[in-house]
Amino acid sequence: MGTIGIVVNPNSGKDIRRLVTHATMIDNLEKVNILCRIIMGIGSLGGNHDIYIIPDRFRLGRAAMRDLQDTEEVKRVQILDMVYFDQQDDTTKFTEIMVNEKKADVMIVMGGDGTSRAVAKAIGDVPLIAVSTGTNNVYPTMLEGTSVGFAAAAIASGLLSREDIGPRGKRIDIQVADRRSDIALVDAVFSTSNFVGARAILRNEEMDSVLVTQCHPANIGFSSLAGTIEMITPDDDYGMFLDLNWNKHDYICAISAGVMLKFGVDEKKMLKVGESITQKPDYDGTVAVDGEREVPFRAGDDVTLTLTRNGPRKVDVRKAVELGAKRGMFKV
Amino acid sequence: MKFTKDQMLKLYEELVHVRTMNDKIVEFIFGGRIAGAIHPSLGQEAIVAGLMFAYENTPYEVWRTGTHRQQAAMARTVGLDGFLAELMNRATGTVHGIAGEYHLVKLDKKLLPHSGVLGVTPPTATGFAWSLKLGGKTNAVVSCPFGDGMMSEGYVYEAMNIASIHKVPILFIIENNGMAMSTPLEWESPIEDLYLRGISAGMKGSSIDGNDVEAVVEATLEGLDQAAKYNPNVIEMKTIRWGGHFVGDKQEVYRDMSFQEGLEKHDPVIRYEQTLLERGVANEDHFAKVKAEQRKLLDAAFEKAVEAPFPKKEDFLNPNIVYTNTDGLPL
Repeated sequence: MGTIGIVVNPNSGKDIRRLVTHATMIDNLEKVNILCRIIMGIGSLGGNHDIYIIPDRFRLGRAAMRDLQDTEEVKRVQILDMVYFDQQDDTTKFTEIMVNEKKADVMIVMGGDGTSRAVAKAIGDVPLIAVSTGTNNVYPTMLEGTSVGFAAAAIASGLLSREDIGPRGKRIDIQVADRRSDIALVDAVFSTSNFVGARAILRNEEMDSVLVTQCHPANIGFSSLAGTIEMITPDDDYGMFLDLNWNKHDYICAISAGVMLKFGVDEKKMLKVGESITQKPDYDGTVAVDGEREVPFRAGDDVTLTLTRNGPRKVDVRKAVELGAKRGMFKV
Repeated sequence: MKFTKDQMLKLYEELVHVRTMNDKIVEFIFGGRIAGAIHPSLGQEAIVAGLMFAYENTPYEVWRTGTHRQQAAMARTVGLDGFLAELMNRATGTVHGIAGEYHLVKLDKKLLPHSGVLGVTPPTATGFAWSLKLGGKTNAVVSCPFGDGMMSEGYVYEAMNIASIHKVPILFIIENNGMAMSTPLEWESPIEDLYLRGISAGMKGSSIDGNDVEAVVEATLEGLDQAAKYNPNVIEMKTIRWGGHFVGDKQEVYRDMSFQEGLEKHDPVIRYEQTLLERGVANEDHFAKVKAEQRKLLDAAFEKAVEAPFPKKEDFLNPNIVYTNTDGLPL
């Protein structure tokens, strides 16, 4: 019997990029559907795992439990009893409780890059399954909920070890002067926009420079931008820093869903894991982490980005299910 | 997009202005100096202040409707003294004190009619926006804010449908505070993301944190910009109603009061103060100064309004005041 924590972000997949682009929409009803499929996937393989779901103001966990009320699988599901404020910190706090008190074997996260990031702050070495319900994500992927349940069950029942899952991923540690620190999983962008507000970056002139942990031209966003110059996989032990120049038009990338931008680069620098880069912007701005303006800085602040291997141990669901099958998970 | 220091300080002043007006309304009602059920926007100041700011900082001509929770925004549109006198049914009010805040219309100030009947405002606002388009008026849009309760009225779907089919220059803003009078959202709608109703009508839409004043400004400016391009759209702003439906409403009878735990984390004024402190834009002394200034301003304005005479009996029977023709002029 194992323990599984599930984060469902009620706020992912609905920001203002949907007003000005053709970004993907995943409403909360669909999130409940996916959650139901995850629970059924976990429960159908036996194992009597304890499943904890994060509480939220919109009661997405309760909605899934209501939809599954006549099933055996739902009997081991509970909404974690914790104080929450419908803010990003809830996700980190839930993860802390799941990891430290409930001794979770695996965490499942439904949301965007930002939701995985909030979990990554507290997850440590516990395996993470990241399911995309956000805006054109890079870190979490679009996954079938039932398969996610299978993979989680394989880990929770001990069929898969942490070594089977693979090493911990890359992470960018951000330090703003001596005031504030934060992390990013995929990209950290110096933005000239000096407020957090609706978080999404909509205009190219807002982007000054970027550090990515992984990039590919088929992605969307800053990872796509960097990926048009050079591709970096999650396994590579390096990242790439680009100082952007919007007066040059050397490359074209998909900066948002269906939105292309031409850009150029003044400086390209490869960073190995363990290396840092420090910028001292002459403007008040924000560091956008994984696509969202999040970390404010003031003109003249030293802002240091360090590439580490402190990211989550991310589960390849397809590979996990394959291994589970080979080890008898589906034998009745 | 960037906010200058002056703009940040102005936004803070707007937030405090809205909060202070809310506090004054409560004070005047419990002091027996305002009659009737008034619905201040306590806890929802970021939306009111954000809309006020966005309307004044967009390049477009914004025709707007009011709501029962947007006193400060309506006052900004028609003038503070006239609005407060109208709120107190004084003859010096914007429409001579016979309408009260609910039925305030001031077309020469771009304030369109909004109805006390739930659901009626979006259709009339849509019709007006359509007329702007048909009349060939460019760079003119309609902003139509309303609450989550109104989203349960069929008229609103019809308005969104018409707006979407005919590409009407309108921005629908759903001020979702989770309570429709005494009915929690989950009792009236299986869908808690109400902007999806607009999406289902074929519009673009999004949902934002309605307690973050800068997010409200940013989203509203984008929404107005899209509307001006004849892309009607809907923005849901999620917030929390602090008090009863109206001042004096005993909400503890029907509401799970656990929402009050940690409410300060959602307080738009406190949140923005923390933001400004972190940015080094303002300090506690500044906050105290703004609060004192707004208190002084609104103390004086409320006293001035309440000292004004009541309308005469004949005014209530004067069709040139009570009714209006299609041009918003006397009969």
